[in-house]
Amino acid sequence: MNFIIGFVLLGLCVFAGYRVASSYRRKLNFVNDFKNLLNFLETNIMFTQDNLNKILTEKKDTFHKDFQEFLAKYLDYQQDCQNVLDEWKKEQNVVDSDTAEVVVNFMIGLGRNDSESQIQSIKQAKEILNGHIEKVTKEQQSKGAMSMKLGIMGGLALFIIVL
Amino acid sequence: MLKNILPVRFNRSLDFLRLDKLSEIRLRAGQPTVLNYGGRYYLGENGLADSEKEALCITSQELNDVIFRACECSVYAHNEELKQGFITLSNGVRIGICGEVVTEHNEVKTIKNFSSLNLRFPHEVKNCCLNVLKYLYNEKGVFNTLIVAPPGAGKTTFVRDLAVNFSDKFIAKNVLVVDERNELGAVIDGKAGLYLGKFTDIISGSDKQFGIINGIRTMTPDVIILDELITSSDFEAIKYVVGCGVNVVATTHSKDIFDLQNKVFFHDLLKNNVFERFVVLSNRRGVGTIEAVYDRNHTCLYCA
Repeated sequence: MNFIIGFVLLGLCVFAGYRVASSYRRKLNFVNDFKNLLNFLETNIMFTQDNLNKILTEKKDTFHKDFQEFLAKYLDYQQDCQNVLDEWKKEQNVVDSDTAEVVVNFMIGLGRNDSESQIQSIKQAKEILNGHIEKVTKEQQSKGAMSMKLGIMGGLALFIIVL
Repeated sequence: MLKNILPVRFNRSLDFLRLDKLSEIRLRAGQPTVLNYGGRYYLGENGLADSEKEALCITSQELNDVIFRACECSVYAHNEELKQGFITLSNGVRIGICGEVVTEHNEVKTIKNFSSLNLRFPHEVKNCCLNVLKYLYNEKGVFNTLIVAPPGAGKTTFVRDLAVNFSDKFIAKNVLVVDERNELGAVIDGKAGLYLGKFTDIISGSDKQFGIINGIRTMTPDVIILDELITSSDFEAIKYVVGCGVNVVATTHSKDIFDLQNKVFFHDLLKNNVFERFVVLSNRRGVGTIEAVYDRNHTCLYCA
C-alpha cells in the first residue's frame, strides 16, 4: 500500500515539476514565434507586399499552439482587433504582462502604415523583444530545468519517506 | 462590401438605401456625410436625412479606419495607389483621398491623417453608348475618339460600354483597355470585376505610356481604350498609339470641345487632327447625357 502511495506522490511531484517547466518553455516558444513572425513580416512587406491576411494565414501553421491561437484570434477580428487583443492581454497566462503589452501594441498598429513606417515599427518591436527573449531564455534555462529537477527530487524524497 | 468598410454605426442607415442608385459618398472629418443619390442628400441614421443637423458625421479616427479596412488591413500593400490619391476596391468602387501628403526629395512617399474621402460607385449602364455608336466606327474600323465631359458626367461608364460594344456586339475587335486607376475593369487577382467584353484585354495599374507600349507589343490590339488624359506623357502615349496604326478611344475633363483649345497639351493632337470623333457628355438631363458627336472638323453629327 505504502509503495502505491509513494509511487502516486512521485508521479504527482514529477508532473508538477513538468508543468512548471513547460510554462517556461511555452513562454519562450511564444516570444520566439513572435520574433519569427516579425522577421517574416519584414521580408514580405519589403519584397512581396502581400496582404497581411495572406501572409499570416500562410505562416500560421509553422508556429506553436499558443501563438497559433493568438494569431487566429487576431485574424478573426483583424479589422477591429483592439478590444479583442486587450481582452487577450488580461486573460492570457503564457507570457508576462510586459511582453504581452509589446505584442498587443504591435499587432494593433500592424497594417496601418506605408511600408517604410511599417518596417520601422517592426524593427523597433524586434529591438524591444530582444531584451525579453534574453530574459525568458535565461528563465527557461535556470528555472525551467530547476523546477523539473525539484519535482523529481521532491517526488523521490516523498517516495522514500512513505516507504 | 460597403458595410465592411464604413463605421459600424453607418450600417443601419445604409440598409435604407438602394445601392444601385448611389453614385457617391463624401466623408469629411467632423462634417455631415453627403450622398449623391440622384441628387445631393445628407446621410442620417435612417437613410436620407432632411437637414444637416440629422446627418451622420465621421471622425478623423473613423476616416483612418475606413482606409485601413479598404486596404484589407494592409495599408503598405496599397501605398502606390495611396500616393496617387485613390484606392480601388474589388467591386470597382474608387475611394478618392485627401489628407496630409508626406514628401521626401520632391517625391510623394504616402498620404496619412486622412481628412476627407470620396467613395465613387461604378455603374454598368448597358448600351448607354448605342445612340451614338454608329458615328464612332465604319467598315475600316473604329475612329480615334475623344470623350469630353466635366467630372462626374459619366465618361468612365460610357467608355466602359464602348469597350463592351466594340468587343462583343458589333465588330469583334481586339480591344485593349489601359486602366491606370483600375476603375474601368476593377481587376483583382487577374479577374475583372466589371465586364468589358469577350475580346478585351486589360492592363491595370500601369501608367498609360507603359501600358500602351507593352500592350501594342504583346497583345496586338485593334483599339486601345484609355480613361482621363491628364499629363503630358498621356498625350505622348496617344501620339505613339496613332503612329502604330492602332485606333484609340480616350476621355478627358472638359466642358465642351471648344474648351479643349485652351488646353496646351491638346494643341498638337488637335492641330494634327488625331481625333476623328468627339463625344460630348454632360449632366444636363442626368449623368451621361450625350450632348453631341462631332467629327474632326467640328461638324455636329449628332445633337441631343
